[in-house]
Amino acid sequence: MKLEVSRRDLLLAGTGAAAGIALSPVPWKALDDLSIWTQRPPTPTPRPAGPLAFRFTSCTLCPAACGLKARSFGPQPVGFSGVPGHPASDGGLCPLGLTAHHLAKHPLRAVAPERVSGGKRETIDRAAASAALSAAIAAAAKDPKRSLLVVDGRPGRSLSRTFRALAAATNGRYAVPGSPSPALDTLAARFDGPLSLGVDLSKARRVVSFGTPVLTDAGTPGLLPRLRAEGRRKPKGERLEVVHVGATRTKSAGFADRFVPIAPGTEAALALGLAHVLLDEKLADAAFLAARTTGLAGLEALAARFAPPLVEQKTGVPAGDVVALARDLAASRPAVVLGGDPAEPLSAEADAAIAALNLLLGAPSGPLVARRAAPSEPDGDAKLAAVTALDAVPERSVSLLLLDGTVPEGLVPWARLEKLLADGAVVASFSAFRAGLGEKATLLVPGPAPLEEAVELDGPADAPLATFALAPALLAPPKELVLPEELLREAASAAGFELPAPPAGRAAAIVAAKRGQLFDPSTATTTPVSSLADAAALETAFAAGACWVDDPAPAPAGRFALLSDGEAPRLLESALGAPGPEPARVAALPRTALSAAPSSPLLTKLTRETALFPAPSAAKA
Amino acid sequence: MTATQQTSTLPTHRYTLVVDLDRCNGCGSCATACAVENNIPPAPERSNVRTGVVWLRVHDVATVDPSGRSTFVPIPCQQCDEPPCVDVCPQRAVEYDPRTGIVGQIPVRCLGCRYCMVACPYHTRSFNWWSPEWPEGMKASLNPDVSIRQRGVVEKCNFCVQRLQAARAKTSAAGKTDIDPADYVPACVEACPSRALSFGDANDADGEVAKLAKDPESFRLLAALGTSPKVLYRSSDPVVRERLSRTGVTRG
Ligand code: SF4
Ligand code: SF4
Ligand code: SF4
Repeated sequence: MKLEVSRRDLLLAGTGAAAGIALSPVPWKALDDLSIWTQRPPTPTPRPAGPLAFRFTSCTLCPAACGLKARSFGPQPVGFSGVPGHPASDGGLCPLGLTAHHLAKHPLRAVAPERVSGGKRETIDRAAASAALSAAIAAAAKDPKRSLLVVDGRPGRSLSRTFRALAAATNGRYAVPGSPSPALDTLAARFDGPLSLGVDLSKARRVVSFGTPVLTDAGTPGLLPRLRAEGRRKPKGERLEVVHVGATRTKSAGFADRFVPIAPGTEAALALGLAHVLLDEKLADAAFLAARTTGLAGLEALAARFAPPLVEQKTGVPAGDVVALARDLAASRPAVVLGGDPAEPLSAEADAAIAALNLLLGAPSGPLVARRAAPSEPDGDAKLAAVTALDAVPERSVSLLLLDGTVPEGLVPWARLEKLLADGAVVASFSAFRAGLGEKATLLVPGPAPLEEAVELDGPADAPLATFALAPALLAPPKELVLPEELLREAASAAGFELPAPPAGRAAAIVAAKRGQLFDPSTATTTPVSSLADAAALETAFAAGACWVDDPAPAPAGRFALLSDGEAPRLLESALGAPGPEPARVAALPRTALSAAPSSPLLTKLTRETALFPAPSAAKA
Repeated sequence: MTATQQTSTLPTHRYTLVVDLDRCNGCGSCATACAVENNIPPAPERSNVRTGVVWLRVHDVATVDPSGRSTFVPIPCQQCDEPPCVDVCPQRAVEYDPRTGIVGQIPVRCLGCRYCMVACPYHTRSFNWWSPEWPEGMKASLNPDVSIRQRGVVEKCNFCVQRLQAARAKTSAAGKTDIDPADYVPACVEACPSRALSFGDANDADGEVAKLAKDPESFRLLAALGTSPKVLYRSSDPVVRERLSRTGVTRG
C-alpha cells in the first residue's frame, strides 16, 4: 500500500500537534517561566543615613502619654511600636502615635514666624515677631480694661511657669482646657479634705459610661477591651461588662455590652432615677454610706422625686430598664460610673448626679482610688498666676490671646475663644502648624513639632497612679526655629517684665520626694527612685526614655458629702427641665479631639479608604 | 502553585494570624502600623473605599449581631493554603511559599490585569490606580526595607515578610537555625493595643497560635470555599461565628 501524504494531512497533523501542545502544560509552563523575566526593577526606598537603632520616648499628642519605641536609622525614626509594661500605656498606641514621626514634615507645618493681617499671611523674621509680641504684651499690661490671656494645653511644664509668671506680671489671666474627667473632680471635691481620684478599671465588674468613649477613645488605648475580654470565661455575673448611656450610638457605644439610648441632656435624670431605685430597694452600699458619706437624707429626698415612670418620660429609657439597670449595678459591684467626653462635657448637674451614684455604689472603696500628682517644684516666692476657668473670663476683654501649641481645638473651640477677644486683639500662637488654633493666629511663632523637643510629660490625670517622663526629642528641630520660651522671655523683657528663671526641674523634685519607681523601657524593669544617686541620674534615665510611676497612695480617711450645699434644688431643676440639644460631634478618628496637632496625611488611609472612620466632613451629626 | 502541589525539603512553617473579635475595638492601629511599615502612601485626593490601597481594612459589622452590638473585623490577606489568586496570575506575581505558607505578592512582575483581585473571595487586594506620592520631606520616614510600588500593579498583605527576612538574617548571624518567635512579629500584631492579634507558627504544637487554632471559638471566613485561610478569627458569640464563617465581610 502506498502511503500518500497530502498537503491536507500535513495541515491536519500540524493543527493537531499545535492543539495538543496548547492543551498540554508545556507552553504555559514556558510562558510562566519566561514571564518573570519581564519584571521591572523595583523602586528602592531611600535609606536614611545612620545605623539602625531603637530609641525610646513618650507620645505627647494626647493625655494618655503612651510609651514609644522608635525604630530609627540615625536620627530618623521610620516606625513606632508600643512599649510593653510601660506604666502609662502598657504597650498600647493609637493611630496618632503610630504616625507621630510624620508631623514634623506635615504639609501644614510652619517653621518661620508669620503675621496675618487683612487675611494676608506674611513671613516675618525673629526680631519682628519678638517686637510684635512685646508690643502686644506692653499694650495689654497698660490697658486697665483689657488684658492678656494665656491658654496652656499642658500645664506643669517649665514653660507653663513662664506663662503664669507673665500673666501675673501683666495682670493677665492663665487658663487651661477643662478637666479631662469633671465627674471625678466633682466627686473628689465632695471629700472633706484634699483628694484626687483615679480609676482602676481592673477592679471593676461593671463600668457605666455616660457618654465617655471608654472602649475606644478614652484612657489608655485598648485597656478596657483587653480587661473585658480577659474576663469573658468567667460566669456572667462575675465578668466585667460595660454599659454605655448616651444620646448617640458612638463607636464605643456600639461596642459596649449594652447601649442605653437616652434623650440628649437627660443624663442627670437617669442617674437620679438609678439612685432612686438603689435607695428605694435598699441596694446601695450601706456600709460605705454609713462609714464614708454624709447627707444621705438630702439625697434620699431628692432621689425620691425620680421614680422610674418619670425618668422614662424625661429620658426615654423604659421604666423597667431603669429598674433593671440599677439592680444590675448593685449586683455587679465593684461598679464605677464615668461621665462625659472631654470634647463634649456633661452639665455640672449631671456630673453631680454621677458623683452621688458612685457614692451609692461605694466606688471609692473599689475602682476609684486616691492618687497623688507627680512631685513638682514648689512655687517659692515666684509670683505666678493661678488657673482661671475660661468661662470666668469676661467677653471682649482680651487684647492679647497667647495660645500655647498644646491646646487642642477639640477641647477649646475657637468660637469659645473668639467671644473673649476685644476689637483689634492680637492672637499669638506657638503652634507648629497652620492648623487648628494655630490657623487662627494673627501672629504665629511656630514652636517645635512633636518629637522635636524634650517634653515634661505628666501622664493621664485619671490614671490610678501618676506617671511622669521627660520625654526626649527624637528629631532635631529646624535650625531657624525660635523656641517659645526664649522668645517669650525676650519679648517680656523688652516690654519691661523680667520673668523669673526656670526652676531646677521636676527630676530634682522627684528625687527629693524619694517616691515611686523608674521604668526602663529597654529592659521593661523598674528601680525604686530612692536607689538613685541624684537628680542627674534620673535625668540621664529620662533622656533614654524612662518613665517615673508613683507608688500607690494610702486612702485618706474622711467622708464624702453625697450632695454639696444648695445643690439639690439646682439638680432638681436641671434634671426635670427640657432635654438638651442633640450632640453635634462624632469624632472621625480616635483621639483627634484631644490632640493639638493635625493628624498625619497617612491617616487618610483610615478616613478616606475605610468606611469605619468617616472623614470629619462626612461624620454624622 | 498551591500548598498541595509544592514539596520542599526545608522545614515547613505555617505562619498564622488569629484575630480575637471580642477584643478588637476598631481603633485602626493595626491598619496604620501596616501602612507605615509597608510604605503605603497617603490616600490620593480622589481615592475611596473601593479604589484605595489598604492591606488591612477594619470593618464594623454591627448588622451581624442581632443585638446590634458592633463587631470590628480586621481583614488582611487571609494567606490561604489553597489560594485562588495564585493560579490565575499569568505573570507569577503571586507565589505561595511552601516553607512558610505565606502568599507573596511580587508587584514588579505584576502587569495589572487584576485577575487575582477577581479571584480573591476576601477582597483583600488593592490596585494602584495612582502613582504613590508623599508630602515633601515625608519620604525620609519611609521604611527602607520595603520598596515602593508603582501605579498599575496590585498589592496586598504579605505578613510583613521583610520582618521574616530580617529575623532569618539575625538567626543565621547568631549561628542558629530556628527563628526566635519574638523576632518575627508583623507590624499589625505589634501595634494592636487590645492584644486582639496573635501570630505564630501553627506547626509549633506548643505555640499559642496552634492552641488558639484548635479552640472551638475559632473559625475561618467563608469556610465553605475551601481556601483554607491562615487568618483565623475568634469570638465568644456563636452568632458572630456562624454568620462570619458563612458570609464573610464585603468591602465598603
Ligand atoms: S495620641 Fe494619645 S493614645 Fe495615641 S499614642 Fe499618643 S498618647 Fe497614646
Ligand atoms: S485572601 Fe485573597 S489574596 Fe490572600 S491568599 Fe487568599 S485569595 Fe489570595
Ligand atoms: S489594632 Fe487591634 S483593636 Fe485596633 S483595629 Fe486592629 S485588631 Fe482591632
